[in-house]
Amino acid sequence: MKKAAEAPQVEEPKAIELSDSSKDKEEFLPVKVEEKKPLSPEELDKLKNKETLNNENVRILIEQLETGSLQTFDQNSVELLQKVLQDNNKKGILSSIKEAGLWSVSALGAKVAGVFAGWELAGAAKEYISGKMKTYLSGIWAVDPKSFLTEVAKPDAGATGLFGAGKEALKAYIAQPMQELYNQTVSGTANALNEKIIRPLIDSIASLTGYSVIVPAGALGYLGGSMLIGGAVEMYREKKKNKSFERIDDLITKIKETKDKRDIDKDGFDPRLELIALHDEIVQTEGKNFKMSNEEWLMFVGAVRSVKIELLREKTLRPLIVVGDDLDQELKRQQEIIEAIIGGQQEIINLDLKTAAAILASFETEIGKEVEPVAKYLKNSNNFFRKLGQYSKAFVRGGINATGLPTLGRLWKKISKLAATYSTGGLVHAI
Amino acid sequence: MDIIEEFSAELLSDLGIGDSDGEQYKKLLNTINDRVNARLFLEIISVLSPEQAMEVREDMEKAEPNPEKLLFDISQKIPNFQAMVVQLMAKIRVELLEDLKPLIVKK
Repeated sequence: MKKAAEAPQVEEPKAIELSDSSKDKEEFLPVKVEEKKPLSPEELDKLKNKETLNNENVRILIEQLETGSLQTFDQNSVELLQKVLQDNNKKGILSSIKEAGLWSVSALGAKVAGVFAGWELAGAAKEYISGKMKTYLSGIWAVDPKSFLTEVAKPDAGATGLFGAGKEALKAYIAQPMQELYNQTVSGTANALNEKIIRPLIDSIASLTGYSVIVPAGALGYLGGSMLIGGAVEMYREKKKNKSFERIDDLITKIKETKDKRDIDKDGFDPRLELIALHDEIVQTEGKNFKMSNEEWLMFVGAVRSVKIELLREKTLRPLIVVGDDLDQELKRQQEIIEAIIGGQQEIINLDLKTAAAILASFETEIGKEVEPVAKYLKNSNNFFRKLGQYSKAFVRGGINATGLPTLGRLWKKISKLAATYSTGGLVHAI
Repeated sequence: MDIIEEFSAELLSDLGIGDSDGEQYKKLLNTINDRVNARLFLEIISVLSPEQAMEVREDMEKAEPNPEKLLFDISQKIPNFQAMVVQLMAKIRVELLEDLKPLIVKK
């Protein structure tokens, strides 16, 4: 895939939208917090004598923690916490406040653990993984994810108070599972993701929010095996070869072997193009000389889809939407940029629908039948494809609504976002 | 706004793209909607049994198809369908972000 800086670009792309508040757009689930006693006059006096009240930032942070109004562990609160943690005097003040009884240990633990273990931490972790967090926390943790995980996951008897509670929660919910994932072999990663992250997350969400997600036994294993199309090239390795599938098998092997050096090898041979050509050949010849089971056909069309998308991304111009202050822009140019992006996306949409059509067509016959009826069908599937476009929308949207998933409200979105976090950064390759 | 529209709008929001420009935003949003929809459809189709796939084919051929009910019925037979959809959406989110992030430049 071409990098934006290297790709041909539209000159002086302009902003379509000014928005600098994406960091503030997280919504948060309610976090149960122990009820706090109002401050007594004596306790207030003690507070007033503390240095923390001379520091507006720290005062705000403490106040938010105490009143439960700290709803987001965002950049600001992370920076505030960083200041507290890096200043021995302020850290001591936190301990003093706790010892003075303004916070009970359990209340502090519950509150901060709640903040960390809730989706706010997910947001923070996501930011870290994406690279931003290493700026926020550069003074506290190491600067790369692996070191971060190693650091946080290791035993630390010295961590106390605010940092300790948060760190413990972070270890339990995020760092340890991710560290274990990091150490997994690729083949075991998908199941580990489900067992170590998704399940604990679902459980922790239920305990924190009162929501419950029913995930029957066995579900997690299923998740690990899903997403066949997206991972077709990866999954192929598990499959047995048959004679007709051998050519496809060889091409997919070459595609995998050359995956990391495609930008370097310019010798004219691209196994991806060969695979696409083979697919076209099978369709054109109605499958003569090719005998595949439905499962093999599924892998084949999935692999073809994958390489077509990869090629599409490589060859698509990289127009830029500039998000910033400059709203005084040339509308026509901006529209061209948007149209180019939409055009690229539309090609992927069509490809996905065509692949779905190919799969559906493959099921027209019984499993184990030859590919010939499928290929013949694909040659004459225009009408079916058009119908599929409309049908798929009602199928997916209506069907998903009927499952009740949307009624879980924010929960499903947060899970999907968090799961997405773990699918990035090279930690999880198998799904 | 349905679940996919919410998902798509939130994704654009995370990319820093808001809806102040109505027409362009709607075009992008609709395209993202379609892409999420097509991908979900593809992934769901890929996990159907031959019998379930045939049900889809047969329903499409009906004069009055009922895809909503069909997917609901099928989802009852797919273990952990809800969790699967959430996981799928997570994967789609990653892919879309990877696709679109390089196109966004913040000044």
